[in-house]
Amino acid sequence: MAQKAHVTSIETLDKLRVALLIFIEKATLVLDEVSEEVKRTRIWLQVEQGPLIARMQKQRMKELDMFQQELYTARMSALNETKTGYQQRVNKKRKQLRDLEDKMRTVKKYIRNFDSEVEPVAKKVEKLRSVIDVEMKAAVIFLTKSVKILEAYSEVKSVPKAAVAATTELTEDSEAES
Amino acid sequence: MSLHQPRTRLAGTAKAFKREWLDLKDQWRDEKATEFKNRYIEELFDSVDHAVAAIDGLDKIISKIREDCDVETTDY
Repeated sequence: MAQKAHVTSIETLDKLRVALLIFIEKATLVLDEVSEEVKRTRIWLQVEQGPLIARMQKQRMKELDMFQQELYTARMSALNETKTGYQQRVNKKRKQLRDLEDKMRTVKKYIRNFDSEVEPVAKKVEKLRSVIDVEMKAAVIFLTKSVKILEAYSEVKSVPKAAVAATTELTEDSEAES
Repeated sequence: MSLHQPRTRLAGTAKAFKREWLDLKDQWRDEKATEFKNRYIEELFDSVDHAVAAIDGLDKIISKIREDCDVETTDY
C-alpha cells in the first residue's frame, strides 16, 4: 500500500457499506412513492375529477330543468305560497351549477398547468434518484474495494507472523531433539 | 395520500446513515476517508436536504390541487 491506512476496524467500514445499502434501498422506495403520488394526482385530475364534474353538471342541469318546469306550473296555477319554495329550489340548483362550472375551470387549469407547476418540483426530488443511482452505487463500490484492500493487507501482515511462529516452533523442536 | 410520511422516512433514513458515518469518521482517518467524504458524503447529504425540501413543496402543491378540485357529491 502506497499510504498508511488509518482505520481501526474493517468491520466498521463494512458496517458503513451496509448502512449505505440500506439507505439506498429505503430512499429509493420513498422516491418511488413520491413519483407514484405525482402520477396518481395527474390521473385523478384527468380521468376522475374532470368526468365526475361533467356528469354532475349534466345531472344538475336535468334537475334544474325539472324544477323550472315545476315553478312554471306553480306560477300558472297561482299557488303563491308554494311559488317561493319552487323558486328557492331553482335558485339553489343554479348556484350548484355555477359552483360546478368554477370547479371544472379549476380542474382544467390544473391539468393545463401540471407540467409547469408540479413537474419542476417533482424533478427536484428526482435529482436525488440520480445521485443514488450513480454516485451512491459508486460509493458502495468504493467501500467494498476499501474493505477488500484492508482485508488483503491484514492477511499479508498476518502471514509472516504465522511463518515466523512456525519457523520458531521448528527451530525449538530441532534444538530439543539434538 | 400526503407526502408527509415519505418525507419523514427519507429524512429519518438519511439521519440513520449520517449517524453511522459520524461513528466511523473518528475510526477512519486516511486519505481514502477524506476522498470518500468529499466525493460522496457531502453530495449525498446536500441532495437529501434538497429532496426533503422539494417533497415539502410538492406536498403543499398536491394538497392544494386535491382541496381545490375535490367535489362533495353529497352536497348536491
